[in-house]
Amino acid sequence: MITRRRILQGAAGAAGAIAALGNSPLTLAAAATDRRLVVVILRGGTDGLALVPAPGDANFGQLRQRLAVQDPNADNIDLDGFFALHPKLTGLASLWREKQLAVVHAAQTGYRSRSHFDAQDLLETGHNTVSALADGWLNRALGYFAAAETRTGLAVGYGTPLILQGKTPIATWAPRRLDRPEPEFLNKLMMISARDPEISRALGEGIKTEAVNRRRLGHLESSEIAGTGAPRALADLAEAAGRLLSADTGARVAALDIDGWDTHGYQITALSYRMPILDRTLMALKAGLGAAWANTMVMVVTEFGRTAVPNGTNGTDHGTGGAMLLLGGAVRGGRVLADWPGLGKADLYEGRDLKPTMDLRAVFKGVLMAHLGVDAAYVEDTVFPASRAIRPLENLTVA
Amino acid sequence: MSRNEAYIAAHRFGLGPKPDEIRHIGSDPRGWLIEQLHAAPITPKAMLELPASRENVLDWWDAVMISVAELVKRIRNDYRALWRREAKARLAAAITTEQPFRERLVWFWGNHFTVSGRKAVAIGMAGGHEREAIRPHVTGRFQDMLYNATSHPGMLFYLDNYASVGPHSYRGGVTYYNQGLNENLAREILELHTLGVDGGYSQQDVREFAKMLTGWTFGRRYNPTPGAFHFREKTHEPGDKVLLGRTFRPDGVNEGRAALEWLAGQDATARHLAFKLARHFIADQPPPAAVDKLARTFMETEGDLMELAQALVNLPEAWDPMLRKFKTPQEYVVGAMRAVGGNTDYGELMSVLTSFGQLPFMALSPAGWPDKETAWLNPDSALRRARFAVSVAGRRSADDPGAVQIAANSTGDLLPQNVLQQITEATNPKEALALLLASPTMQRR
Repeated sequence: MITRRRILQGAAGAAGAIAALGNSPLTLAAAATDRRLVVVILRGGTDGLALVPAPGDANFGQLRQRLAVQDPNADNIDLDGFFALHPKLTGLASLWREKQLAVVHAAQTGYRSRSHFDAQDLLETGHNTVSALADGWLNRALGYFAAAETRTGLAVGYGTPLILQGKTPIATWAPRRLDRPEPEFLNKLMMISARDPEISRALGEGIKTEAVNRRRLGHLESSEIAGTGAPRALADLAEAAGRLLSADTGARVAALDIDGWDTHGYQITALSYRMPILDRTLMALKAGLGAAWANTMVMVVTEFGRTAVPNGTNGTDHGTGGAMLLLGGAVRGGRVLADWPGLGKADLYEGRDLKPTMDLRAVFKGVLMAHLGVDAAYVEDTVFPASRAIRPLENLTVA
Repeated sequence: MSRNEAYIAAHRFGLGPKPDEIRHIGSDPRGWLIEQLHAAPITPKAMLELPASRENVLDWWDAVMISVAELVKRIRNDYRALWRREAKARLAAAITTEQPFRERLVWFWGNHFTVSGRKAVAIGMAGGHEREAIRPHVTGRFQDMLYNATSHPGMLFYLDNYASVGPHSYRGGVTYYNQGLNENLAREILELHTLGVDGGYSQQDVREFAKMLTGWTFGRRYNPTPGAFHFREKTHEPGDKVLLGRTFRPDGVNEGRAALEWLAGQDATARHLAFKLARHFIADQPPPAAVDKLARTFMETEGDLMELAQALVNLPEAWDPMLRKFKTPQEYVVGAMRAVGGNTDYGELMSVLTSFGQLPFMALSPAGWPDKETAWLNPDSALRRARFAVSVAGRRSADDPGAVQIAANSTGDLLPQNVLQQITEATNPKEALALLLASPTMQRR
């Protein structure tokens, strides 16, 4: 890890800091693990019964009414005779066939109200109480690897999601659009920023990682990412994330946001646009990872599911239980993991939502332990300090 | 001291000084700010030519009557173009305004009542919502702003209420239409706009409030208020509604109005708004005493936003010489452009803000843009600001004012001596200016 002191020494020694950049200390450093973990957060509350419908449930058709058929020209893609995938998720369907996709259904954090923002807070802090923790559970998990010489975590896109915010320094990456300053200028800028530790630290990190990223990404580094969620842009972002993670050294854990899931109205239309973006984005991530896909686990999560019954505007309102996806070469796939609560009126949570029967943190814990090899005590004491009763889910990874 | 306070006023409460602003502020920075609250609001020149939202609403309605495909086509072309015009006009207003405190209040309240073009149906109305429902009310009463922000078609579209139908209403009984209640707007008013998430309401309260708001939609061409707010009796849920233990008798459009008025006067609302205001202008973790004072002012003045803004200016905590807040990308970019003066290429600025992740009227959720340093400061954004500074400095000509003069106009004694020295000793004028624009002093307020 490059420390503030080293940056300042470099800056004071004129060309020192830049020389260090040229040598790229990152490439010399050992990586924390050869496993990769990507958390994709679907913001807005994805309808779990649209993502992974349950046509095998006797109550499904009647309950979902006009949301049961999601595409007039294509059926839901059958998984195991009971569960299915949204018709547009064709890439994910092929992963299922290769046993590289697993579904966790009827799942939710400990959150039981219906605010996006509080639900996201708990999803990302991993606590039971909103705002009880200011840092993200993934950042705390990265603390386990803090001794590693490189930053193990990577936030992809503009801004760092809460799940990665915290004490453990992480790398960030977003496509470049502006002129690249001269090293001499950056050196001076580091010097005049020294009195502002936060800015100075961020800038130092930005300078340090840029040179490395440039080599790894080629054209993607300057690809035009529209701020309005253009479909190709997200796929490019995901592919870039994959490439950065695929390198022999460097980041191992990344987080990526996809928004636009708050489908209060005309859900069929909205999702017929959103689902292909999700599918393409995940496939681009796989492409970017290349051979490293074999060591990868991707978790696709959302802050809550939505009402099981359609609302008055052909959409769904904020609900509770939802679906989560696990994909990657490291996943023991081809399985739906669920203690299925059923879709009868009496089975629904508060008479309206899919009842959560699995705490997402059981999956998070299982992944951290089995996939990343984080010590169990560290996971219980430091990463998820408020949920010892929730046992980690086992057998998530291929042997 | 008071000279420094002029710079603090311009950065913390304004949008960063323009070349002659510090001189203009003179020795009474509080007076300069309060004067802006009392002065007649000036409609920014850039906004004079923009069409009323009403036109976009009616065009939307015409398109949807043709087909969904037609609507999608217009959203992608016409409405998107309209959003760009609105966004550029807002940037132009911010960069040129002589009432930067007032403009900041528009930004603050506009963000509080976010309508975002991220939701395609609202993309042509988001700018109009702020111009029509927020801008005229920033020194008025909160309950008026709340009513106007809620009943504007932009919000009714963005949070789906325009299509919400009372299950027992005349229209709700006609199953052919497949329509019913949508609770999105009701929930976000309680959670985001008034009481706050800990305001003590339940899921049942959300539904009851949603019922009160049924019928709140926009006027079609054949209605008396085409393209503007229209109350549609036929979709309004009949019967009593109980919100937080208080019964509202059936009274058509007045139910929702009464509920909003009542919500605007609640202690929880006062505390929620006071906290957000203090966090925005003072610090990510605002001093509790400052929040208390603002909340008290809000209650004592029955939500007078002019008094509230004045109370903010008069808080000793608001004049801490340390610049604690990290400017958002929009604040930073606008501040830099104000500092250098001269012409701005607004199309290019839009590209810059795209890469900074903060295009006007494109917040990611109804909660608006985040207001904390952790959301905006990271290695990538820090480097990006340096690049922006280099790009801006790169296109200055030799006749333009130099960095030392700009520093005197924009940062004064807020700029540490060693930084000024670096700027003075820079290799060339462009590097000097880039250093100033990328300095921490310019990035904070």
